[in-house]
Amino acid sequence: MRRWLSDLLRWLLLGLAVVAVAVRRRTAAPLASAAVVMVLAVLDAAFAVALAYLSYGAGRSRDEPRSAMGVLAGGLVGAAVLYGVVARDGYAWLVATVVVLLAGALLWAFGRLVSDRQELAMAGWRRASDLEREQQVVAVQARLLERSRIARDLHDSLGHELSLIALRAGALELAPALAPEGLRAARALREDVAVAVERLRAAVEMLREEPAAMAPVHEPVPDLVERARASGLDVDLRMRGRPVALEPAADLALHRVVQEALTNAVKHAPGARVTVVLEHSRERVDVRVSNPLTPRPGDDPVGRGLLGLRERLRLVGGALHAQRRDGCYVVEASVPVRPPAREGGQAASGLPAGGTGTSQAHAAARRRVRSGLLLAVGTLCAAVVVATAFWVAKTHDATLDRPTYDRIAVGDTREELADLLPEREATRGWSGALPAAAAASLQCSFYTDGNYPGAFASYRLCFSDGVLVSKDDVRS
Amino acid sequence: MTSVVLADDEPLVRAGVRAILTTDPAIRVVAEAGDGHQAVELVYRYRPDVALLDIRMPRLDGLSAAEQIVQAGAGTAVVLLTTFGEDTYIQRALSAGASGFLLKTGDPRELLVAVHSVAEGAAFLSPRVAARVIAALNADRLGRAADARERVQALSGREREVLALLGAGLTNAEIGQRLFLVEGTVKAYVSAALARLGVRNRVQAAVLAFQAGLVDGDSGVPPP
Repeated sequence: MRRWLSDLLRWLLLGLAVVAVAVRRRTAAPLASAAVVMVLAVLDAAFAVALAYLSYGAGRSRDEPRSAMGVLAGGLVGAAVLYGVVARDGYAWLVATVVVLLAGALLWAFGRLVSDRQELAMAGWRRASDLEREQQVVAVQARLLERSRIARDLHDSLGHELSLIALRAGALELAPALAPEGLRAARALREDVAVAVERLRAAVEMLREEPAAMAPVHEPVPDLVERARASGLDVDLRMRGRPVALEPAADLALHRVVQEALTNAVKHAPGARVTVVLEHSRERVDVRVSNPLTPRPGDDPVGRGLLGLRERLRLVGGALHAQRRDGCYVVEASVPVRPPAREGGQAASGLPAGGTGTSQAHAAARRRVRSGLLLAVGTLCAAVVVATAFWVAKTHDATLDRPTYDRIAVGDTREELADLLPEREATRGWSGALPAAAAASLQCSFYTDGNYPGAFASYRLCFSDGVLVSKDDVRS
Repeated sequence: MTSVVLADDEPLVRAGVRAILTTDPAIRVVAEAGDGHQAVELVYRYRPDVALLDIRMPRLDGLSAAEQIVQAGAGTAVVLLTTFGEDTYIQRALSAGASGFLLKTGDPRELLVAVHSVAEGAAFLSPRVAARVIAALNADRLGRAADARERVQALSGREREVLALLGAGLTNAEIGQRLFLVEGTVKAYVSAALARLGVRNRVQAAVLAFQAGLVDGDSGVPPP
C-alpha cells in the first residue's frame, strides 16, 4: 500500500514544487522555464507533470513560434548533454527525450490553440459591444434631432399666434375712439410683439433643415393627406369618430407621424396604395398608416425618422409602433386627448439601466464558462473522492502488505496465521474475476496489498485441511 | 375706391386685417378667401385692384396663388402679408411678380399705404423686408465680385490687360493697337486667358472682367 501511495505522493509533490517555483517565473519567461523543466523532465518522469503545465502556459502566453522552436532545440541539446554526463542507456534516453519533447511541443501547441480561441471570442464580444454602442448613439441622435424639430415647430406655431396679437394691436392703433396714450400703448405693444416675432423667425431659421414650409402651421391631417394626393400619391383617408381638438404639441406630433409615414411610403414602396385611418374618440386619437411592402431585403423596420418621432409621441404621453404585418408596413400612433400628468423632472430617456444587452450577455457567458469549469473540476474531485472512499472501504481491515506476505511460509496453519491475515478477503482480481485456485481440492483465499484505487487481489494463499500449501503473487 | 380681395386660412387673422383696412374709407374689402385656390377664383371673379395674400395656406399656398394671379395679367396687384419674412419667401414673391411684401407685425399704416401704392402701380416693401432684400442683393453682388477677382488673379499681368480691354468691348485688332502688339499675339493672350479663367468665349470673359472690376473708370483703363 505504501509504495503506491508514496509513488503518487512523490509525483504530486515534485510536480507541485516545480510548478510553484516556475509559476513565479512563468509570466516573465514562460518559454525559458518550459525549457528548463523540459531538461529536468528527461531526468525524472515526475517533472513531466510540471512540463505539461508549463508548456501549456507558454502556448497560452502567445510567445512567437520561432522562439518556441529555439527553446525546443535548446532543450534537446541540453538533454543530450545531460545524458552524456549521466551516461544512461542510449535507447531509454532517446525514448525519454522524444516523449518529453512531444509533451512539451504538443502541449505548447494546445496552449496556443486555446489562446487563439480566446482571442477570437474576445474580439467577437468587443465587436458586438461596439455595434451596440453605435446603435445607441444613432438612437440618441435621432431623439435629439426630433427635439430640435419640436423646438422649431413650437417657435413656428408661437410666431403665428403672436402675429395675430400684433394685428389686433395694429387695429387698436388706428381706432378713432382711443385716447392718445392708448394709441401710443397699442403701438408700443405691437412693436414689442414684432421684435419677439423677429427673434422667433431667427430661431426657426436656425433650427430648420428643410426649405421653408408652405403648408399652414396647424395643418389638419386630412389637409396633409390631400396635399400628398395632389402631388401624385395614391392615398386613401378614412376618418372615424367625431374630430376632437388636441393640444398643439399632440396635434403636431400626429401630423409629423403621418408626414413621415407618407414620405417613407413614397421612398420605399413607390406606386403602392397608402391607407390612412384617423380615429377620434373621447380619450384618444389614433392614426394608422399602412402600405403594401415591395419585397426588399434587410430594410430597417424603424427608420431614424420614426425613432425620433417615438420620442415626440412619448413626450405628449402617446405611443408609436411600426412593424411589418401581413405583407404591409404599418405605422400606428396614438395620443391621449388629455395630456397625462408629468412626474416631476421627467428626464430624457437615456441609456437603459443595468448595463447593455451585450455586456449582460457577455457576463452571462463568462458565468457559464466558469460554472462549466467548476463542474468539470468538481466532477474530477468527486471522482477522486469516490474512488478514495471505495478504496478505503475495500482496504480497511483487508490489506496484506508485502513484509507480512514474506513472513508467511508454506506449512503454517490457519490458526497460526490468524493474527497476520486480514479480516476480509479481496473480491476482484486484476483482470476482473478472481484467479483460479492452484488446484481443485484446495481452499484458496485472496488478499489485496492495498493497491489504489481498485484494491485488487494480489496474493493467493491456498490451504489444504487448514495448512498453507501455496502462496502466490497473482498480479499478472 | 380701392378694391381688395383678402386671403388667409385663419378667420381671426382675416378679421384683424379687415379691421385695419376698414379704418380707411378709400379701401373696400370685396371678398375673403380661406385658401390659395379660392383666392385665385375670387380674384378672377371680382377683378380687384389688390390681392392681399397670406403665404401658408391649404390647398394652394400664397406664393403659387400670386404666380397664377400675376400671370393671368388682369391687372390685380399682389401683396404678400405674412408672419415670418423669410428670404426664400421674399425672393419667390418678388420673382413671381408680387408688388408688395409686408409683415403682419408691421405698422398698420404701412398696410394702408401699401394697398394704395400697389394699386397705383408702385411697389411696397415693409422696412424690415426691404433691409433683407438690400442685404441679399449686396451679398450677391459682393460675392460675385470676390469670386471674379479671385479667378482673374490667376492671369498674368499682360493677360489681365488684354482681358480688361476685351471687357470694354474692343476687338483683337483694337487691343493690339492699344497695347502695341501684333494681332496674332493678342489672339494668343486671349486664348490663354479664356483657358485659365475656364470660360467658353469672349462674352463670358467680358462678364467676368466686369464683375472683377477691371472695366470701370477706376481701373485706369480709359474707355475707347
